[in-house]
Amino acid sequence: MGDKSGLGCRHIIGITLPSWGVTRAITRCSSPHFPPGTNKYMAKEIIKDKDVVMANHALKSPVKLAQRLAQLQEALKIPNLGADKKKEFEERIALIVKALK
Amino acid sequence: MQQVLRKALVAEAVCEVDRSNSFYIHNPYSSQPTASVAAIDGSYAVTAWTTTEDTLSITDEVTYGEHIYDFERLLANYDLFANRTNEQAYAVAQAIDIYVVNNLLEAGTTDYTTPAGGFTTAANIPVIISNLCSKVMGYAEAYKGLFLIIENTDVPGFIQAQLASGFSYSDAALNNGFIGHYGGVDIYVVRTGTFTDATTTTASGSTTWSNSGRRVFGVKNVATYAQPGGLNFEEKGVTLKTGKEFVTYGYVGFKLWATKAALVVDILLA
Repeated sequence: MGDKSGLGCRHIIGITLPSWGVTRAITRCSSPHFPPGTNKYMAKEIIKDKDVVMANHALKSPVKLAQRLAQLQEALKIPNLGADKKKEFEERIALIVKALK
Repeated sequence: MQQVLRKALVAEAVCEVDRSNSFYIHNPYSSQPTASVAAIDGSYAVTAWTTTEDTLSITDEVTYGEHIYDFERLLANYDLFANRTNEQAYAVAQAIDIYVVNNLLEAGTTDYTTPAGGFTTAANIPVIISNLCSKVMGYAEAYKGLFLIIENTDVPGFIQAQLASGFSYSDAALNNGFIGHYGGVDIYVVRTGTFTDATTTTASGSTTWSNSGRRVFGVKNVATYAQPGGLNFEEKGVTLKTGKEFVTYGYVGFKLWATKAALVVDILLA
């Protein structure tokens, strides 16, 4: 069996897996798309800590986060913005600024 | 048996779905040419051009498993396997829906901030819809149809605006209730708690999103989500246990294609 995937990853614990359709092969393989241990870091419950979410977001898509920071800062200038929304936006801005540092 | 209280699934209405057994979907694009207009003289320039790879990868799996002991099956008055597999299939489908909708919002590169009050203020609705439409109109793709996904907490402003619109539209709203089409935009309502913040969890898989307080608008079918093989089901005997263990699972990947990312609008509720 050759490497039909072109990704150079077929051997797991000495076993040559029959095809890419094998789920275990994908999740445990050494492909750059599924680095070893990917699942190890996956939380089994929703992460409530906003700092953790934002820090990960900053790692994965800093451009998107910067775009949202600018949008939130602009939104603070809305003249009749409610106090609750103002507080929410300020908290959000603080989170993003901290994550992007 | 009764079904659990189910939420609406909307992803398939706004995205293309690929169910082929591909790990990758290749969809490269080449640079955009701009034609030159000049006074006629029979000459032209040759411009360099490039191709950029754009791919969708299957990155996540969605699973749910249970065990029904034989005494549970035998002593129940209902077909427990049929009921639980049906509920499992829904649970997996719903998780995929939330995954797709949040990744869609996350991937949109155009942004828009609503007037204060957001969708809950009736007077804002025509303003928001018109502003959103202006973000994507003029592109050929806009004729594929427009969508807006809101949460149920946004519905009051919409219904009030529809009831007060006047004439036949208002009459239709008064007679039939919420109209899922406003100003040329198809409105999809999901339950509150759909747009959230999540990172590498059982909700977001390997992806991350921070979509709390946001909604998504855009052109239909410019994003693709892949669900190779659809939903799968396995039933197996387990040692030391009577009955069967059974699991429902599916794989999912999402991509808002690079050349169309501006056609999805990231809405901030003010």
